[in-house]
Formats: sequence, C-alpha cells, structure tokens
Amino acid sequence: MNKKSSLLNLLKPIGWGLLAVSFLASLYGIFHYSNILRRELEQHGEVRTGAVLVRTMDARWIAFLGSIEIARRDGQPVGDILKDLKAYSSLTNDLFKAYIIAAPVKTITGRILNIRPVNTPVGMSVAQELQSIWSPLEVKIQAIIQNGENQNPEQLAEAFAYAQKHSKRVIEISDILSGEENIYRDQRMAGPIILRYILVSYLTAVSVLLIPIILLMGRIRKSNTALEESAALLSQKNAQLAEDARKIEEAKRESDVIMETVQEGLLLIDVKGVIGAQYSRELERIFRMENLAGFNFLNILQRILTEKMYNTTRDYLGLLFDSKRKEKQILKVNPLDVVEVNFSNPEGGFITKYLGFTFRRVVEAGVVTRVFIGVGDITSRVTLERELRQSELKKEKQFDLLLGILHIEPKQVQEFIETAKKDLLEITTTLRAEDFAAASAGKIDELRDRLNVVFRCVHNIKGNAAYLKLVYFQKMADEFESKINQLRNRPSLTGDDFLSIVMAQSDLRNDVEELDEIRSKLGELRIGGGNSTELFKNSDRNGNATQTREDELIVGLRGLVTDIAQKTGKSVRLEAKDFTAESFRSDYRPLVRDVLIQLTRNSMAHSFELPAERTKVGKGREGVIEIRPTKHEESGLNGFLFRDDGKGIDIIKVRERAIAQGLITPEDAQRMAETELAMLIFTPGFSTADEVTTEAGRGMGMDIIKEKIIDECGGEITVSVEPGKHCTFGIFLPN
Amino acid sequence: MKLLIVDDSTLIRRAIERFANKFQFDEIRSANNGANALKEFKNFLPDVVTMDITMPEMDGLTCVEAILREKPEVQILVISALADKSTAVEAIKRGASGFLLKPFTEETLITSLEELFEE
Repeated sequence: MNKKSSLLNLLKPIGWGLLAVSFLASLYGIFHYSNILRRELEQHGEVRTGAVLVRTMDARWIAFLGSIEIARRDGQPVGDILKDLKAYSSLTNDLFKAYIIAAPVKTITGRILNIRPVNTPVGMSVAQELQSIWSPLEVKIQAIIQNGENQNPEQLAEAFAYAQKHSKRVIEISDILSGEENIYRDQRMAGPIILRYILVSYLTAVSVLLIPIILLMGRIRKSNTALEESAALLSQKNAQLAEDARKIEEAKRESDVIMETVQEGLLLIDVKGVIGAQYSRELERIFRMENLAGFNFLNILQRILTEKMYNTTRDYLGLLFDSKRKEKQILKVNPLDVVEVNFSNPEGGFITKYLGFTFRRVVEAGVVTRVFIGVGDITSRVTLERELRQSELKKEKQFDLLLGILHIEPKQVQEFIETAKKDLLEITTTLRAEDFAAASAGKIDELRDRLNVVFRCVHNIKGNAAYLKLVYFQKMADEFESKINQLRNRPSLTGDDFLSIVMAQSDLRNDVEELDEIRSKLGELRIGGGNSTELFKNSDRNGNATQTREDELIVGLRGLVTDIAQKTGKSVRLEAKDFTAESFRSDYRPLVRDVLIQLTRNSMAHSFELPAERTKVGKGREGVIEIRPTKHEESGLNGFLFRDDGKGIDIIKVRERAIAQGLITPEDAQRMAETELAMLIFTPGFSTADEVTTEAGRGMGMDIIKEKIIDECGGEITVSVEPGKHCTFGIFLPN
Repeated sequence: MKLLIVDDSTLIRRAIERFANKFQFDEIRSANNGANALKEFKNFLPDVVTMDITMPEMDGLTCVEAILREKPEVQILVISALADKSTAVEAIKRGASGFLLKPFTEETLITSLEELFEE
C-alpha cells in the first residue's frame, strides 16, 4: 500500500465523517430547539388551561349548589351530584397545589395537567387569595357532602350566596393568572434565555458529536460503523419528532374536549370581529346557531341586541382593540355585563334571555390582536334577582296595608273588604268580555254607560278607603279613576280601550284579597293576644251593634272632615248628637255609612267656603255639618237630615251645566223651581266642580246615592237649598 | 400636579375637593359648567380633570373633546349619575381616561384617580 494513496484513503472517510457529523449536529440542534419550544408552548397551554379551570370554578360551585337545591326541592336524590361535587372539590384542591408546588392535576376528563407553579409576586398573591376564598367554601361544601340526602336548605343557601358573592373576583383572578402567564411566556420567548438554550444545546450537540470524530481519527476503520450508528440515531430522533407531533396533536384534541364541555361560551375574535376556529360548544347553544367559526361576532349581536346597545357594543369593541387605551378602564365600563337579548322563537314570537359577557385582551408584541370573550346565560340569575326585588316590594306593600288597618276596628276592615268586593264584582260583570264583542262596534253610548258604572264603583271604594284612612287603597282607587277619566275624554271607544281598566280592576282585586288575608292573620294575632274581648265587643257577629259603634261612624266622619279641612284650608265642625245608625235596619247600615261619607265629602269639597270668605259674608269662621234623625212627613219613613251651612248648591251653575250637558232646555230651566234644579245633581255623570280633586267632584257620587236609596231600597231623598246659606239633604229608608 | 373639578353642583365640587386632598394635589380649581371649564383649563392647564356629564352651557362629553384638543395628555375622569352604559362607553371613546358612577365615596374616587396613572 503506498503512502499517498493510503493518506487519501484515510482522508476520504474523514471528510465524509465530518460532513455527516456537522449535519447531524445541526439536526440535533434544531431538534433540541424545537423540543424546548414545544415544552414551553405545552406548558403555556397547560397554565392557560389551569386558568380556564379557575375561570369556570365559580360557575361550577354555583351550578353544583344550585342543582342540589333544585333536586332537594323536587324531592330527588342528590347522591350523584354530591359525588361529582366531591370529585370537583378535590380537583380544586389539586389545582391550588399545582399553582403553589407544581403538583400534577388530574382533570375530570382524566387528563394529567402539569401546571408550572406561579412565581411572580402578583401571581402568588392572587393564588393565595383564591385559596382563601375557597377554604371557607370548602368547609361549607364538606358539610353539605356530609349531609347526604338530608340537605339543609339554609346551609345550601349560605354556600350559594358565598359562591355568588366571590364569583366576580374568581373570574378576575383567573384573568390575572392568565395575564401573568402571558407576561411570563413573552419574557421567556423574547428574552435571551431561549437564545442561550439554543446556543448551549448546539454546542453540546457539536461537542458530543465531536467525540466520534476523534474516535474516527483514531479508528478510521470503524468510521462506517459510526456512520451507521449515527444514521440509527437520526432515525431514532426522527421517530421521536413524530412522537412529539403526535403529543401536540393530542394536546389539541384535549383542548377540544375542554371546549366541548366547558359550561361557558368561550371565543376569540380578531380585530374585524371574526370568530376564531376554536370556541366552546356552549357558545352555539347560547347563540342558537351552529358553526360559528368565521362568523362575525358583531353580526350575531346585531340580531339579538337593541340598536342602541349594538352601537354601544361596536364602539366598545373598538376601544378594546385600541392598544393605546388602558384595558382596566375599558373593562370597567363593559356594557354587556348584564344584557337583555331577544331571540326569535321558532314557535312564533320571541324569547327573552339575559347574557353576561366578559372581555379580555390578547396582546402580542404590544398590540391587541384578538379579544377573548366569555359568555354565560344568566337568565335564571337575573330572573331570581328580579323576583327577589318584587317579593321585597310586595313585602313593603303588605307592611303599608298592615300599618293602614292597625288603627281600625276589625269589623270595619271587614266591612270595607266586603263592600269593595261587591263593587269589584259589579265592575267584573260590567266588563264581561263576551258582552264587549257584541257591544263594542259603534255602540259608543253603551260603552260610556259601562264606564260610568265602573267609575261609580271605584269612587265608592275610594270614598270608603278615605273614610277609614286606608291611604294605600285611596291612592290605588284614585289612579284607577284617572285611567277611567282618560277613556272618558276619548272621542271614540273600542272594547280594546278597556284593557287598562280590566288590568287596574284585577290589581285592585288582588290588593283587596291581600288585605283580607292580612286582616284574617291579624285577627288570629289579636285573638292570640289574649285581650281580644275589648277589641271584639264592637263586632258582635249577629249585627247587634252596641252604642259605641255609632259613635265610631260619627268619629270616622269627624276624622274625614278634619282630614279634608286640613288639606283644603277650611274649618268645619260636625255635630250629630242624637243620630244613631241603630234606628236603621241592620242591612241598610253600610248604605247609611256610604251615603254619609259621600255627603260629607261633597259638602267639604263644594259647599264650605274658606274661613276668610265666610267671615266676609257674615257667617261664623267655622262651618257646621249637622246630622239629625227625622221621619219623612208624608211616608213616615225613618231617616236623617244632613245639613251644611256652606254656600250650598250653586243653582246658577247647576242650571248652566245642565243646559250645557243637554239634560234640560233653557225653556225647562225657566220653568223649574230651585229644588227641582237642585235635584239635577242626582243625574248620573253630573258635576258642578270645576276641577277634579281627590276629595270629590268627578261627577259621580250623588247619582249613586239616588240609585241606592230610591231605586234599590225604595227610600226617599229630599233637598232644600237656600243658596249661599245652607243646603239640607233628607235621606229616608223603609223600616 | 394640578386638578380641575368640573361639576354644576357646588356640593359635589366641594366633596371632590375634600376627597381629593388625600391625593396631595399641588393646586385644585373648579368650574361649574363646560364653558367655564374650558376657559379655566386654558389658564390653569391641569394634569387631571374630573368631569360631570350633564351640565348647562356645554355638556361634559363635548367639554372632554375640547379639553383634549388643548392638551392631549391630560387625564380626564368622567363622573356621571347616568347608569346608562352607553354614556360610559361614549365618554371613553371621546378620550376620557376613566369613568366613575355617582354616587361615589371617598374610596371609589381615590381608587379611580389612582387608576388613571396605572400602567
């Protein structure tokens, strides 16, 4: 073998060897780099998944506790839910451990999650805060699990309230954790650590592979073997790369599982509002649409939001993508944290839901590239809150009613309820639907008549309420009257116009029912109180009222007089020495009371002058109402006179009004005596008052008196007037 | 650091002034409507403005825009009793840095002021 050729022979494999080695070294370097990158990304993904778990934590607690409560109420077993709750509790504990000491977490799907422990000051503080939120709840949840099938609703409610109270903070913490992770990753990726890794790994690879070169130099003959070994190594590495790819694929599949099962709508949108490929299945359910990837988020919102809300939301997303604006300030004015949305219902009409949206920026290299959105259907929460508010309002009303009747004798309250129910029944009969269909077309007079009947009934309720100082009912009846007056002033009427009346009627009916309920409860309370004799002496069930009861009627009237006098600035005294409702048949007594209330109100509103005015015309400063028992001269009927010394009935005004309203002709007016003209005030719908006030003057009242006394009972009414001086009504009823 | 308080209610101006004392402003001035606020702003050139939304003469949102044209880096905290969320979004859109809902407390006001300077 010659020297030259042997050297050449020697150099050739060395050259090949070096080439192969440097190729392998670079391959290894690239592989190592990709490996580090993959690990970084994988762990980043894991931490994000952990943050997602935290984000849904509050919703899960609430859902668990809620379903236990629902099952408990329905009498269903709760064992299965408790089992899941237990599993979830330990998952939660694992999660905390993971954040603090990097212990592996086994998710519900069975996957092992390797979360890097948080090591930033902010991250550690929120992780601790989260644990401090969880610890008391865990104690409560353990107790609930211990309770098994014998659940205590108070314990549940308490835990539920606790979870709800901290819900917002938990979501914020989740956001902070993922934010911290983003910062960490950005630093890792951008910082010199990765570069150093690459350099070191490359150098290591080269130096490790240099050993075979040295060996090659020494043992050239074995170069072929070394090459083969390297090739084997290469193929092994290739296989590992394929394995890594498979793992990444699997990780993606697992994130898909999360997206499938998470209970919240999660999505990413880009700056144009386009929804990304990965979003949670729940989102399709919430939006009632499928295949949302590629859809524009704003277009979906446009369909379900009001125009104003849509415009605000569009502006809001604009702000979110504007990297110059501070995220914290923008998150504070989230217009969609609770928003009403309407979906068209396939069965007709629409469905109203409440959604809660949370937003979070995804920042890459200082620019907001996407926005992460969480959506939850919070309809049940919102409805619950609303029901709570309503029940509180109801409680307040009941309190008002209760306060209202505390100072009144039970018997009187009962009478009020009975007459109110009678009036309400008359309203219902008048408004009966089937009659309306026939009556509504063109029969305006018919409808107006009905309206008048309804008004009379409501007015009566109002009068009685004012007499008993049931302020709440007085107010309700007054509002009811206003509604009727609105209809009265309409040029035309249809059956539909009565809808508001029907509603008001049903509201009033409910209020009366409620009053009745409170009254009966209060009755029990009073009997239970032990000193019921005093209170019930006046309400002998056989109607044998004692002397005190008439006094009460007069006392009540006196109270009414004082009340109205105060409001109107008048000064009036009521005298009724010998009057007693005793002298009337017991079934007429409520009517006597109603009539006296009405007459008193009318006198107070129309007849009495202000003190100054009275002094000017030479009367006493104080007006006087006198109620005196009497008998009818001709018929001998038992009755009373009601006299007031105010200006009485303004005959001139009555005449003008009667002519204007077409009740009489000017010629009739010439012929009629003053008393006859005065009797016109008993015509339905007639009033001389210029203004409508709460006290009187809506053109009703006197006509009810006439209808009840004369038409229903066969009694008599007399009027005697001396204009400017006094006015006396005589009311007479059969014995 | 200088603060300008803009609110048409004397009571609220005083309350903000008292609360803001904790923040150690070098000087605090106030204005009772948008037009006066703009005048005052040009002389005073404050670093922070608290701005009521509903005011006579010139409403708060218009005033925010006018002030930002004078000094773009000023921090404006819009304070409003309007719970309407579109108002809040509109305020931020026009360049306000923060939004605070009335009624506010000393604590919420201080927090909102601090947040104006957070990065």
